Amino acid sequence: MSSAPESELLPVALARAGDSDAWHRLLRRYQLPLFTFVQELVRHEATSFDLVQATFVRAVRHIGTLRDDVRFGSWLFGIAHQLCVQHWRRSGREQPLGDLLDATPDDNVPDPRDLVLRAEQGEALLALVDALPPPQRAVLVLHVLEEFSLEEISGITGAPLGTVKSRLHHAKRALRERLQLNPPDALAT
Amino acid sequence: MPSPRDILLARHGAAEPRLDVLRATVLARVEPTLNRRASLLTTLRAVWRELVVPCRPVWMTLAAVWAVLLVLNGTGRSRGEAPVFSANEITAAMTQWVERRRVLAELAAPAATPARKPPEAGIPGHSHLPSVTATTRSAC
Repeated sequence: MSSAPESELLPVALARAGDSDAWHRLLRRYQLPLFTFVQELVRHEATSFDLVQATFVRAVRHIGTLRDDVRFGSWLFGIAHQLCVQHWRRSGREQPLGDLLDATPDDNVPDPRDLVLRAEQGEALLALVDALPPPQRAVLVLHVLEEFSLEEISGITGAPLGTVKSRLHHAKRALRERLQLNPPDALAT
Repeated sequence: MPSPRDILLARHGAAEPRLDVLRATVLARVEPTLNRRASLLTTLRAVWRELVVPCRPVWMTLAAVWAVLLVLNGTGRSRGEAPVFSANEITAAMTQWVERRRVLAELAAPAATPARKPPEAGIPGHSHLPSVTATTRSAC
């Protein structure tokens, strides 16, 4: 699924002009993926709702800063990510940095989407995703959820491209190792 | 078989009704902002539709006239270039100007302070008084 053609169909121009219906359509399209992303990062339902709400308000107020209508999705997720980081800082937690090893991505490592597809128990795999450190989880969720490119994920998270590649690589490797250690069948039983 | 995206979304699918309410609330709250933005754009569109579109030939003629004026102005400027003087010429002109000012000042000076005429002999009051003084001195 490619996000670009769909984004072209989204009524971003109308929303920019202040069309209320266009905003309803746009936000309806992204509300659940956005909530999923925020909830996976924050792990607190009420806070996640608050952050999604703040993201919506900011999006409506600052739509003028969006340069490319096709990039509406990554722009919206960028706002949400920024709010998550602010929330972490406010709540006294340091921004999770995770392991920022500059390992180059290994093409032989299977794509996590393939791993999920092979797994019989999706929930078991999600539990494995939960065990990832937040930065890797954010990159993985963005990669899986909206199929953002590495450049887009870099723009959303504000991390350099190399760091994003490294995080995705580690996330994939961690998933592979966990799947090898705990096969989905074993987890299901 | 569900895609990984579906699996992730299904995990939080229960939040969808609350998200609908949240979306409606947010958009109701920012409605004035949206209306303002929409009304501004509507006004601009109306101006374009009512003012520009019906009189398109007039606007095009005006635009053509402006273009011709701009071209003429540009060519006039390129023809009338500012003259370039050498340092000697400038010095000579300055000297000449200073000299002219000096001559003008000289010519203007007598006119500014006119000389007083000496009193004439037959004017009353002037001829009698000194003679009276002379008389008193001689009497003493």
